[in-house]
Amino acid sequence: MDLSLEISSALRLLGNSTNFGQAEFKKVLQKATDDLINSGKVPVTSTGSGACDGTIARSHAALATLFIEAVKSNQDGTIVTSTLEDFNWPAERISETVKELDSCRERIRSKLASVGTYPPHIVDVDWKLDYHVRSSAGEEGGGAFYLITLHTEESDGRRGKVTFSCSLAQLSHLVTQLRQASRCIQKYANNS
Amino acid sequence: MPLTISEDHKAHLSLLIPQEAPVVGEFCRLAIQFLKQGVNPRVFNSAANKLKVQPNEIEEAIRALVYLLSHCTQATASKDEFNQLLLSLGFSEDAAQVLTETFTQNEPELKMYLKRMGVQVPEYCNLEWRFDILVGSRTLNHIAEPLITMQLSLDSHKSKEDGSLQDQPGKLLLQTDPNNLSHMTAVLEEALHEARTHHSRKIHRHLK
Repeated sequence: MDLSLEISSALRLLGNSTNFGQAEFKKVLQKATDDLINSGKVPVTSTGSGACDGTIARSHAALATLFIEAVKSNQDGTIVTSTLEDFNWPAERISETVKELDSCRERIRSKLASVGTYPPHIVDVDWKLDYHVRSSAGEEGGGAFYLITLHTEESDGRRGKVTFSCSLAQLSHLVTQLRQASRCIQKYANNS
Repeated sequence: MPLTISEDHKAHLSLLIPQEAPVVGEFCRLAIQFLKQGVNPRVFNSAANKLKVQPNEIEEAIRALVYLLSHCTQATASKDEFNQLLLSLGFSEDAAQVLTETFTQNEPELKMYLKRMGVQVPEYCNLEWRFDILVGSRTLNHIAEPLITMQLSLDSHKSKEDGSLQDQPGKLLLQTDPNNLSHMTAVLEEALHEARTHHSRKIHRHLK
């Protein structure tokens, strides 16, 4: 695993039993895991062990980075284990860390997948069938029209709407295109 | 519906009323141009110089003329009714003739203009789709996620600020996944079925 010098040195410190007692280690591990799953905004507070030089914050960041890199590159426990062994971690801490990583791997993965930009993602469709009878502009007998609303989800989690009208013929065209796309996907799904 | 013109409107048209038929014809041409392309200050200036009035009076007169034409189209006035109205306003016979001709010849353009000024909802033009597989991103390597990328073309029929037509339909980039695609297809097929039901056909026949 490719980790920067800063992260590596912080991890070495974390593994060192003289600097970090078992209880403190467990606290940092727990906090890092919780923050990754819940995107917690609560800052890391010192446990009052006297090391007020940001060691705890650094070790928290280093552990979080380790987890993220492992999930990002889809690396299993063995690579993480060997990396931590290189940092002279005691076997017990390694196994605890790997266990935590495996338990929250899926959740970190889905969090990572939602970060990034993508075009509005359609999640739902509403439709309404109207009949235009008359308008203030003097238009009469427009015929049957559909009002379609597409509900979309943007990259930052906001919901958006795209509304448009179409005639029966246009809706048939739209549905034909969608069916074509579906058939194409089915074909690939069945072939592979 | 009886055709009525407000006092303000009459005042704006007062510039045109005493004019000769050819001048009125020229104004009609300018009014139709206004319908299609919007305001053109140079034309107003040249017309103002010829008639020895201010350019904004010319603009007002043209707008009043456009309003007169569109108002009568909206009220679905017949040729004779329109002619009667013009004569009652004080236009000469020839001028009224020219105006009535403009009115009847440009009916489709006037109807389009009215449609643009009315309730506007973007109208569907086209949907292009593309089947992609997402292989990786900055935050997550080694993915294999199927995606459908779609380009939805919508024609908003909106006028630009100066009243002319917007030529290009707007294009929206959207995406979805296979599950949502089949859900969307199912829902819209249901919508198509609704138009073919007995209930819907009954209303259609009733209102035709």
